[in-house]
Amino acid sequence: MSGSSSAQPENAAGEVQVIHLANITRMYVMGSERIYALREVTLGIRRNEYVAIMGPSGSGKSTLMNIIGCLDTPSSGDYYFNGELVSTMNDADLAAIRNQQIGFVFQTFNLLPRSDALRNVELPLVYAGVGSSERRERAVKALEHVGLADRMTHKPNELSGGQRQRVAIARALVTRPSIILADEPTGNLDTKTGDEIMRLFEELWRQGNTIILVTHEEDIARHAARIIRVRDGRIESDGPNEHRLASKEPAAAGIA
Amino acid sequence: MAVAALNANKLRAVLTTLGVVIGIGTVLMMGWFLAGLDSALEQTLSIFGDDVLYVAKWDWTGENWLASRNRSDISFNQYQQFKQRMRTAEYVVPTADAGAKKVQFGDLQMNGTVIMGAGFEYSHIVGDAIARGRFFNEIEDENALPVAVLGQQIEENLFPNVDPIGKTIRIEGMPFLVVGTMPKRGALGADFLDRQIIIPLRRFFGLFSKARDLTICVKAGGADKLENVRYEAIGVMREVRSLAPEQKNDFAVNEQKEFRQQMDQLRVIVFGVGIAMTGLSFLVGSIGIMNIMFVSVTERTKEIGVRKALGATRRSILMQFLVEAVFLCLTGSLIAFIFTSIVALIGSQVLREQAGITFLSSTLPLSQIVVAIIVSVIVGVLAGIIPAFRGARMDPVEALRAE
Repeated sequence: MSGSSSAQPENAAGEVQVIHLANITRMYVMGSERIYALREVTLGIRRNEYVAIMGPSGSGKSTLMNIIGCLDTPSSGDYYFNGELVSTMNDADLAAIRNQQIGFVFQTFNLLPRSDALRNVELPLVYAGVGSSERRERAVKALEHVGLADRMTHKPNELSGGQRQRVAIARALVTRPSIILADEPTGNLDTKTGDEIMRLFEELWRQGNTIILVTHEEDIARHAARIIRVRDGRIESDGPNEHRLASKEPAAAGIA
Repeated sequence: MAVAALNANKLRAVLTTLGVVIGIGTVLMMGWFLAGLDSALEQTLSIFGDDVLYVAKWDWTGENWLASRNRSDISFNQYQQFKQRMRTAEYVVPTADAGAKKVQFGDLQMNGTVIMGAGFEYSHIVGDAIARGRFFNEIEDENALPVAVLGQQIEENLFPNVDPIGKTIRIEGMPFLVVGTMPKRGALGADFLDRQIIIPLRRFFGLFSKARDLTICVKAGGADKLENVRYEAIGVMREVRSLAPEQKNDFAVNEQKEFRQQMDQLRVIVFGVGIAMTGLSFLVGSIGIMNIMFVSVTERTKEIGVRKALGATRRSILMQFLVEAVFLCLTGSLIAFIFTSIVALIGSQVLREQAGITFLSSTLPLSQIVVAIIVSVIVGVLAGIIPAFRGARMDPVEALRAE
């Protein structure tokens, strides 16, 4: 499919777009200069897609990720998340979207160092206002899901890099978000561990999750079903990945 | 969460709370001292009685001091006329004092005692006047017999192992029979009471001289009757002193209230000094807390970014750091409370033994815990609000980029 659909999300025939960016521009003012990190980007991502956003540093892919992740707001343009206009939302509403709809996975894991795995995974549920017993139950399930049933009471410094990233993925999954937004998730891992993490993403995708991968590594991007290349603040190319590296084609591919 | 963050830097946190510790400590010490003062005041006031007027040349408030000096003494004759004319009072009792007299029993001797000459009804003026034995009676009073009632400290010094009742002591070389002893009555501002020996007034005149200034104790027989009795006492005394209508009173009608006023002045001083010290240490304390909170916010920029990405609102970040600041202050107040409790325990004992100050309690009043908690929460919020606000307002993208 073409990622440059300009239709309003509610108009998309039969298909719900989780992410819909329309003419998104992000501009910074540095002194007297105006720097455009993104120029008129239009982009749609449907449920259960597995997308890689690629681009060299300075291309605007980080800005794009921040806007998709509701960490940043565009200078102009409309951003619809599940049909809801988020580009004009205030801080508290954006925090709620981040909390309930988006699961972040970072390159440096970003676990709280003094809390054990379980507490780390529970954290988004704390902000969601989930009661402690349900919180515990869901965190345990999420950790089991990523294969860390036996590491729940370990602190981050007692875990390997791969295990830390699994905790981070469990933390991203625990709120049952609409999208999982992973920023260079294997950047701090060795190749073998990185492959394991990529297999985990593959599995999560097959289970129905929507995954957006931000990376500059071709090897990592090749796992995705769709690749969006960003350069100089614009989308350079957007299309299905012809050389998918998955061991097995997903049964229910969300791509045409 | 906030607590866990503090745990990592225990020493730093404790040092930072030092200002708060001193501040809360001062508040607690002040409360402790004032509570002691209050209980002492009540004790003192009960000694003077809440329904007793003291008609004297001297004004207890310390006002009219110069005028008082020039007033003529209240004579025994004036007392007799006064007593005769008073209708509303329950008791009218004359007293006179002479200070710093040598008192002996056997080989033991005591200086710096206060000899009080009094009418036999003096035992009615104050409650619980007698610990052992009895007060002297009307016959002994009328006949100026050499009998004495001893203050608690005199009994302690002269009769360490002996029952004083029935023994003979010497006051200025003259023999006196001990008929009774008084319980410990001394209190703040009236500690001389324990060094007092009460003898019949007529005997007192024989020992010293009749030309003594008297204080007439007037017991109203109930605090509600005090104003009526006061009114009558002033009128009668004016007659006795032969004052013309346009002349001012040349005497004072004192009561415990005057004492209370003097105590209130002391309270104000203690309170003023305490508030000044407290204010200063809280200023220093809050700056310390604010400083460490700024450090904490800066150090944890990345964490703030992560928390925001996971859904923390500005409000929850603000609360996190405010809780941390309040927790620091509460820790400070806990340390202050422990420290002050120890000071109170040791201090009250040392002051009792070394300086004879008995009004300080060995424990802090319970209400002080509440005060300490409230104050530390307020200081924590005030000192933490600006750093917490800075953390709350951080841009999540910028914060996540921090290392």
